[in-house]
Amino acid sequence: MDTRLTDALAFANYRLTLQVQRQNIIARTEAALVFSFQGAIFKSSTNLIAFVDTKVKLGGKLYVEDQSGNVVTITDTSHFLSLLIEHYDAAMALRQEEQQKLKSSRTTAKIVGL
Amino acid sequence: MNKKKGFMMFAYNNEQIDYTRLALIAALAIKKYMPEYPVVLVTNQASLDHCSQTAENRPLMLAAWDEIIITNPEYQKNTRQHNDGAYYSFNAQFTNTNKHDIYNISPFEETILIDTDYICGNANLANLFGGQHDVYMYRNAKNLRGEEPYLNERWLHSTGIRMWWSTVVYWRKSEESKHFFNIWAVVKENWEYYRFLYKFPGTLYRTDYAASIAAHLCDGWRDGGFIGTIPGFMRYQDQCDDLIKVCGANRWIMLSNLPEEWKNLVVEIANEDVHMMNKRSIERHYDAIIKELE
Repeated sequence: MDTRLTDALAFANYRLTLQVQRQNIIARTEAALVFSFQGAIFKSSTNLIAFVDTKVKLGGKLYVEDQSGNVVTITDTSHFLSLLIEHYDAAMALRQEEQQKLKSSRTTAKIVGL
Repeated sequence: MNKKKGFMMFAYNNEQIDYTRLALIAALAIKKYMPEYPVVLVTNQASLDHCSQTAENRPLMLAAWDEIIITNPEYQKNTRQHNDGAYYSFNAQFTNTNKHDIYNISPFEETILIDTDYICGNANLANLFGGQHDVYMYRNAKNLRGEEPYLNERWLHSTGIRMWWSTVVYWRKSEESKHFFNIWAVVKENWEYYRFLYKFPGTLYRTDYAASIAAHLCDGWRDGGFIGTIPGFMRYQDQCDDLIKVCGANRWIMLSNLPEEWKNLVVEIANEDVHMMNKRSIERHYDAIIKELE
């Protein structure tokens, strides 16, 4: 085969490996955002953190939709907010660490940590 | 043993695959990430004897399973083609005809049933205990490349119903969940009829399809939220893929294989649960995986 073609195919494989690894880093940190509270499953996000924080400051009942679309009345709002932040921070710290490793990976083997 | 919440798994060996070895790995992975929950194995006497005969298995068996339940399901021919990577395939008997019986077999109030080729890489499944739904399953799945599964693993038919994966089934004992498992049994007993009604090809009894039909019937012949969706998606390694290296208890280097060799891809999967469909790839790395999980 023409070396121009084999080199280009090898480069394309490297690019695809890089893209899949980026997606997989997001997938594994998405899993770290999920937690259960009051018998419902929630996923932490900046939107939810901001909303809950505002409601905690304003007072009154806190209604939050869980991952299945059920509305849950949160009783311990401060604990819920701290869990949201804890899971978000842990997931983002992991994502940043993984992305930093990826930045310096210039070969297919290094991308996947071989 | 805490009888309120726990995990269960079936393992019936055949002449090609030692399911009890796979079950040891699956159970030890649960114990690593969710040590507070008991694990119960359902198997037959022959498989258990085979597992116990190996001296090094005995301490692992004690560590992995809190209870072993012996059942001897009636033999029903159900031959399935397995692939080991992109270039080798073999046929083997697949004993899955009593999966719906788990409702009656389970000693727990809340149970998570997992397939023996589902290896936990975090504690997220424990979030299902005490959840809002009486039954949870995976609806979405992605392969090693992050792509959607084949059409017949998303839909029972191109104009039919969506598929639920029965790889992981959570349920709590209730009237609603009992209806679900009863209908699953009826679908299994009348497989030919439901196969034509829901218009899917082949004769293999697939529990994914039986559970999907049961969910559809229980929900009033529609997709109305009777089954809770396990958050996120189920990561799976296809049968044509391979495991290259075990880098930790939940870190795997895999080869995503396609018939076109130049499209093969090395993929790192970490911190996630993985449904390892290529069972031979688990068996090849058995010692390395056990070492990481011990």
